[in-house]
Amino acid sequence: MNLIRRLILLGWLLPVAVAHPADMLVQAAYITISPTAIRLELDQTAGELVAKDFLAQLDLNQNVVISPEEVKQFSSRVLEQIGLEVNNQPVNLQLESSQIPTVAQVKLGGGQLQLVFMGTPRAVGQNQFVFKNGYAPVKSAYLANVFVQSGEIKIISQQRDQTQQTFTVAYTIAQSVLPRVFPWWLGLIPIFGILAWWFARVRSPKAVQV
Amino acid sequence: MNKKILLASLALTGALLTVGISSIQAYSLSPSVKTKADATSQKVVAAAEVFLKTLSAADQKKVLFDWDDPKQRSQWSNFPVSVFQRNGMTLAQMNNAQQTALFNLLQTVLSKKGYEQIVQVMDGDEVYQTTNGGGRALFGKNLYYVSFIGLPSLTSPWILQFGGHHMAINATVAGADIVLTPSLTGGQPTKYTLNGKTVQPIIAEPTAAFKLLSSLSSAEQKQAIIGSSFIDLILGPGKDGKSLQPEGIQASSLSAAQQTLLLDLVATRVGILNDEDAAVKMAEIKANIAKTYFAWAGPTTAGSAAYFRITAPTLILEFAPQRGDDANNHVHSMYRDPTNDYGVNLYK
Repeated sequence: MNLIRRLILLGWLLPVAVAHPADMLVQAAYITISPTAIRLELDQTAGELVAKDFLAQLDLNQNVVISPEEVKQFSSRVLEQIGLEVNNQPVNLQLESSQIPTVAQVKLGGGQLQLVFMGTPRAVGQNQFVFKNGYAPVKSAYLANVFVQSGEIKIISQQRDQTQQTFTVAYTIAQSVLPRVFPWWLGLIPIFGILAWWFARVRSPKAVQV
Repeated sequence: MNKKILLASLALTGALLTVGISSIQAYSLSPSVKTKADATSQKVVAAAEVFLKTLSAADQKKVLFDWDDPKQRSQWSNFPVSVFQRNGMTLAQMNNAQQTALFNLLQTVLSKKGYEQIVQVMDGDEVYQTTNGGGRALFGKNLYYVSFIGLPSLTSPWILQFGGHHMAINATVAGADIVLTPSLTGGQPTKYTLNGKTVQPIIAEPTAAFKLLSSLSSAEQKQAIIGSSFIDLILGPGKDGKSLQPEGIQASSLSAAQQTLLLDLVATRVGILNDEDAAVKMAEIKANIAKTYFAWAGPTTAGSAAYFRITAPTLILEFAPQRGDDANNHVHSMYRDPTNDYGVNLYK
């Protein structure tokens, strides 16, 4: 193990600025649209001057380790402050994955916490999503962008407010790539069929062995 | 006795075959290239082989990575080593002969101007270390790394990675083709004095960008401007494989003179690569000029800190000043090809 790696692991900190910027939490939102889902990646990088306050939100038990459980709790608090609507309907976002930096990396101002949320909005034809990020545990800078995962999706317009905390995107999904709508009640038919068969079998008289 | 010798020979042959096959497996997974290596690529491969020969077996092991190593492919960043650990060998770990061979290799891959730029960016990091870096050995010229993904070859693709703070050069060599996507350039400071001379490694880019912007009419600027203050990189490190929707003004609506200014701006970045391969890339970009977009975020007064992006079917350029006392003195720039990062189109 080389010296640099050891220093990082030991949490040896530099008294110099390496973050961009040093006095802010940079929150970059990357929203990826696919025909059946919306993926929100939220990358949070705290500058070293606000790293301590940011860590207080993350390392709740202050044991110098950011655990997956702490990240889960943190993401719930973040979710309370952010919102994603598709066609004026709130999207139920669920934490799908996360990449957790070490406390030493966060203190240095370069550790990036990545939270990935997924939602499955009902979206057909022409749509609009509005993303709002009101999470601000410390002074924050925001960035919001959209990615497309399929050629069948066309972005019509993108609008950001001055701080990029509100991001509005109009887009269309080609009808051909949307899954056919399957009425939920059709799924009950085979279930009822099996139950009827079982009931008939139970009720029928047993053959008598001679 | 004869039986023992026979068994020993068989065991030795088996061991040799095992070692041989595993060595071949380690580096033979590279696919074959689509074009036959030309004179430039031959020079690059020869220079790479010269460099590798200067290294001990242990050092070769440090710098060589399997072609099928996705982790190493994306193991680059704008951050200094204190925050982001790279792999390979640093300049500090090399003797003079090894450094000379490496710089010679870089000169064959890059243009004269491009090579000067990366040397100036490293010098700038050295200046930063002695001024703002508090003298700590976590910035500076010595902490630039080299690594190879795949063995240098005329018939199989391979990637030369060279980078450190504010620099990540990923040069994929595949037969006659050499591409630099994705690569991150930039610097801090972007203006410094060295040996009594003022050095500005990346000044050509913002100068060309403001020239293009000032050529646009008010209505055209309105289309190009997507924000009133600069933003950060969108497709920086860790964002491989993402597809960005074009924003800003479409070049099809620009005059021939404005399109030329746009191409001049693109050339300041693409021109880091050696002249021959850069010319191929520029021809491709010129052919797609009508489908190219120019977007601007920030003030329009010349010399202000502003972000710009150029999006084309085979190109994404970003230029992002960083927040701080002087945003123009700390810049991150990204160069990608959404269809051909790491040269994925250059081999079968």
